[in-house]
Amino acid sequence: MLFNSIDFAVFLPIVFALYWLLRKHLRAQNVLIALASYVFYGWWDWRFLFLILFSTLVDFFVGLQLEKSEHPQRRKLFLYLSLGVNLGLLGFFKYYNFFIDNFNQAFSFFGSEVSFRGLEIILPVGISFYTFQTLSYTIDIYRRKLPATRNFIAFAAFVSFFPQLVAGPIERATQLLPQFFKPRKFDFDKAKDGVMLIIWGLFKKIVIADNAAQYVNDIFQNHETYSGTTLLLGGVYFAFQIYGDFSGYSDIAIGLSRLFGFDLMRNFAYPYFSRDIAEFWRRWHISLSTWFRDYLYIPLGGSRGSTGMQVRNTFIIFVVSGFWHGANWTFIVWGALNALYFLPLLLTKRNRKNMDIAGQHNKVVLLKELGQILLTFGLTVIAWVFFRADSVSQAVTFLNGMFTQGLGIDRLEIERFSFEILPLIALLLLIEWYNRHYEHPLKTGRFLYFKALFLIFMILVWGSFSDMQEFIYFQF
Amino acid sequence: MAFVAFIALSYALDWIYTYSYKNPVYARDKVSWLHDMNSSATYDYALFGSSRCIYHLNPVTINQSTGLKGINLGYSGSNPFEIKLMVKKFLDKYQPKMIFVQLDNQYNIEHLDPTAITPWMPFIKEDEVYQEIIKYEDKAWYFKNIPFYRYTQYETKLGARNLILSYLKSNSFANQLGFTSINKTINRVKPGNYKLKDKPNIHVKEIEDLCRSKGVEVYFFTAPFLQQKINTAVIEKHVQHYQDFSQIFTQKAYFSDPTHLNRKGAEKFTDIFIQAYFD
Repeated sequence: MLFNSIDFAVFLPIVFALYWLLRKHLRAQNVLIALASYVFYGWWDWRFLFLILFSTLVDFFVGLQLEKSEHPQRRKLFLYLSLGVNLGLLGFFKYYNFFIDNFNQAFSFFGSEVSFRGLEIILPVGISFYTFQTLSYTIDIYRRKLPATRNFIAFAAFVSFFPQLVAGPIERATQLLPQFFKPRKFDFDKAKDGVMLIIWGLFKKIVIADNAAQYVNDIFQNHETYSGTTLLLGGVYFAFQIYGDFSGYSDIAIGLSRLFGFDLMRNFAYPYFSRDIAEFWRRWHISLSTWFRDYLYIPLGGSRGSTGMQVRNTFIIFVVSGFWHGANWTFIVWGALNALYFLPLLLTKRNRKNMDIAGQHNKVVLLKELGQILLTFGLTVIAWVFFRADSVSQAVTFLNGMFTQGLGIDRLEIERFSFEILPLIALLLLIEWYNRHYEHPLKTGRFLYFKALFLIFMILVWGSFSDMQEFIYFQF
Repeated sequence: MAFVAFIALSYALDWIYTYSYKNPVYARDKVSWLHDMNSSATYDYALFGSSRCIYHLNPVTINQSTGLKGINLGYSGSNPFEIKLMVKKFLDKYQPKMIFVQLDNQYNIEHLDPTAITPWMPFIKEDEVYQEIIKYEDKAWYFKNIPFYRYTQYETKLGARNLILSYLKSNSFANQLGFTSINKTINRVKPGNYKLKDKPNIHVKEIEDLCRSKGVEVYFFTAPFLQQKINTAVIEKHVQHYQDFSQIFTQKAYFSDPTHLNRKGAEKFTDIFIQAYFD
């Protein structure tokens, strides 16, 4: 079920009304959340439900065993069981065909012919997200940071919590699970803020991302025939498409959670105003970056140890992050490219230089910061081309075309000029720049309702409804 | 309060869009154009069909040769259902002597075309239009009754961009009585073969009945193809006054693609059409 669908527009009010009717019955509320989440998830394909139920059962059981056992070897064994089952399922559904294809190609490269057959596997929506979320539960119990829960309903609701089930934010068990045990009272201000976030998220998704998608699809599909200017615009548009799409989803998820009395972690913090790549990664997909930091980077040694170790750890975390996104070399190159961007900052120990918000100082500094922002954005655009392209060679051809296919304005196959969407992007940037000190642009301030109404107006008038796009991150 | 504001905004936008498409400065499509045309004008004939009508017959040339005043109301993607809607709307407003309807491989199609129906959305509150669309479109009730819903669902052709253009940019057909030309010539041709099923089309039948009741003569024809075979005998069997022009041209120079004539081809075909019907 898509957040921007009629189905969801019917589903949400029903669940919302039932949920608050049951406000004095915490257990019933949790049952409702779990059931509603299964309906939400099963709407794509009911067969996926077996998978999520299996993960839930395994991790619930492993959690109990991890807490009960004092024997280190036994505890490790249970942790490996959780890691094996969760990463095994993820690996099978997401990476099986990728490994088979590359295995076959590697053999043919060395002159041998092997032909292991790939399988026709449907990738369950959001599997990477809930896998990481449940892993955080077992790992934290293993580390004795969290007690195991004996309440299966609450645990099932935590794993399948529909607002963030399929595309995050990837919540830590330590942060989200305890909220299922606290009585939840309807808080008007919190709910209002949730609605505002939903409006802002819908604006980014329907107005920015879905409109940009039409241009991006056309430009990437016909990149050999368009000018370098158009290709550059294609890269820029994709940067805003993926931002609007993913951060829009996160905002809607966080907003929905607030309607139900839950607090989820912030996932985006105006990433395109970052002054270097390190800052960008502190502001982009925060829940994933911090997940990798806590469960991969730090266990590997983090920033301790020799420079060589730090460089190795940095590459591992970025390449794994790229691979987490999808089973394609394009994502791996995207991750490696970001590691390369990060390296100079790491080696000169400037990766924690920009911890504040851009544009807080005098005008001279502001100009310098704008230059840094543009440079950082340019680097991300180059990386995004790999992320969007079907293959590494297509990405290279595309980037080459930016510099060799000349200047010019093209009329695209979609019967629009390549620049037509720029005013919408400028509007997004303007709104974000003037609100970058707040969690989101509709958080506070004067004329709040007027601003919300303006965004609703923009959604109705400029929204791309007829060519409704699924959220890009669903495939991950 | 916010909900009331949202509903009010939806109604206001619906009214603005509908008004603009019904009273355009520059009509963005043929339905809007026909609706906005002066009802005191008179026409001797009208042409209906898909893009194979718009790009193929020039009423200005016909007028210069014969003195007859006509109009080309073909538009891209329209099938017999949309053609019927257009014929009805035209005959509600004007009383021509005759009309011409272009039929080809769309003859067997009886459902509505999800793209070609778009220009009818501003008019869905008109009972006659609604009663037709509801037969084939499940969402018709929502389009009619939920304010602004139709404009969000058809925003690529009826959205803000087109609304703005309807005030700023002239269209390519109004000053040529509905005709538009294509200025390119085909390079390579992929031969094709359309096989029609032997069954009558209910909408075409309705067009015949409507014309009979209004005393208007109706002629059906198939416009030229390039190396595309089609068993037009089926159409000929089920309609009266039919003429097949599908195989009259073999020269690439007349075509922009295998199913559409270019400017040169359109002028040639218009001459043949004049000889066939007006001499």
